[in-house]
Amino acid sequence: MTFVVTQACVDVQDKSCTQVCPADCIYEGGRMMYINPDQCIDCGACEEVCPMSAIRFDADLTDPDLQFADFNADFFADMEAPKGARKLGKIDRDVPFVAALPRQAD
Amino acid sequence: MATPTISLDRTDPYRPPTEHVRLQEDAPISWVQLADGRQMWVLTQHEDVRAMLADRRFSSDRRDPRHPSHQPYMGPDHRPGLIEMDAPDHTRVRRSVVGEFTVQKLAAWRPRIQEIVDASIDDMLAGPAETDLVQALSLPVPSAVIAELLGVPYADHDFFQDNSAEFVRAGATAEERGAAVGRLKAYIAELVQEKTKSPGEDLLSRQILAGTDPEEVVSLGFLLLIAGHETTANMISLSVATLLDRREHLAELRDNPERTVGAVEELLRYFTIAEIGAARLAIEDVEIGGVQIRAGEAVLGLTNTANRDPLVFPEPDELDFTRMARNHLAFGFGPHQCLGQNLARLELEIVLATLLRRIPTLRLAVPFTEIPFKEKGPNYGVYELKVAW
Repeated sequence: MTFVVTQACVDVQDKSCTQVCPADCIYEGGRMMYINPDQCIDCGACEEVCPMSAIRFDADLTDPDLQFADFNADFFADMEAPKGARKLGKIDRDVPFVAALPRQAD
Repeated sequence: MATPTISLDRTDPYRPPTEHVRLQEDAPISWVQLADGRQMWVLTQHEDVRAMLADRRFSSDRRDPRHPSHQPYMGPDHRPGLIEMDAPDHTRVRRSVVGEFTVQKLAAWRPRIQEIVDASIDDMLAGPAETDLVQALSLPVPSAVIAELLGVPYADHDFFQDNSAEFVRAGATAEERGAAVGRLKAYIAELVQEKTKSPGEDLLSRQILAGTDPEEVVSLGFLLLIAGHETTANMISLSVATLLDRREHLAELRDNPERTVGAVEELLRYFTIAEIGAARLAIEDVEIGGVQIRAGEAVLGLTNTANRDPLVFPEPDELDFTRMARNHLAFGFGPHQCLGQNLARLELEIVLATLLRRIPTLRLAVPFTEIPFKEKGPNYGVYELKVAW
């Protein structure tokens, strides 16, 4: 895995990233987007367009976002290799840490 | 780089080559025979080019003689560079270096790039009030930046600029190109040896310290050095020439400097300087845009016509700085998408904003139509841009 969606995406989900992702590997969860680490091709296109600067290269993650590398992977743990984000649409659930976060004010 | 392709002649410097436009108008996908007898699919629409570039069933490995970019020197012993690799080799090498070019990493370079741009403009203002912008600004800025980033002494800029120019020169023979590659690689190999003994705070040193195979470091250094200055230089020159020719756009940016970022994106779309498009070889049967492409067939995706696709960019021949042009293909798409795209964006933004602010009276010193455009090489651009103030 290389690129990771972090906490700044929670309750924003701008989704500009999905428009530029060549691998169609950025999935819409309930409250944030998740990058499928097995499908990411390291092109970096998403990082540049994210208005929240929520997408980071995993090697550059620092606390408190470090744990989001695992969160992105965990989101896909119970799924049969998903075919692509656009076809799948919104998946209305989140990893427990994100689900437990207080709703972010607008 | 030296993909033989359809004629690159053009009648309007602001439009893609005439043949490219004609192909797009005639059929979105066509089977084209080149002058040398080779045949390939040519894709012209945004959706199809994007689909092709994102699909791993299209190979970048040029050692296969059927690949459109195959060169006679690419025998079995040829060591493919990053742009000539497929997964998993490509994934491994790209991953080792992509972290150097993230938006966050490059943000730290902003003040240094600003300094380099300011120093070039100081030199311009200290000299005669007429100069060739290519030599005064377009080439020195990206050359100095990529040299510092890689750890290549900028003092050697004449050497690497000249050899890079030879490598992409329209009409250069395969032997001439090969010789330029050889000189550049020998130069970088020597640098890599020095850095192995005493590493510095630069990209090449970090690659060495990470244990990357020395030949791979040389190959990467070669690619980044060439790609890191020649292309950006062309975009700087074309952008400034356009603003000075179409003064309404110049005024727009002066009055709304916050539009500079959007202007950079739109200018990238508008010129899509990688003229020859993106060449691949189908290694499986694939259907693209309703056309069946067979394994073993060559494919060329024209990013310049794709970026004028009216389905994606309404009024595509209009230059519109407020257009959200982010989904253009000027940097390609997919696994091979330009590694240095965020560096190029940053350099263009700083150069344009600083130049307009510091030399508000800047104007073309020759009529726009007399600017010598680079029309037949792999990258569009200008050879010389005489400006005055």
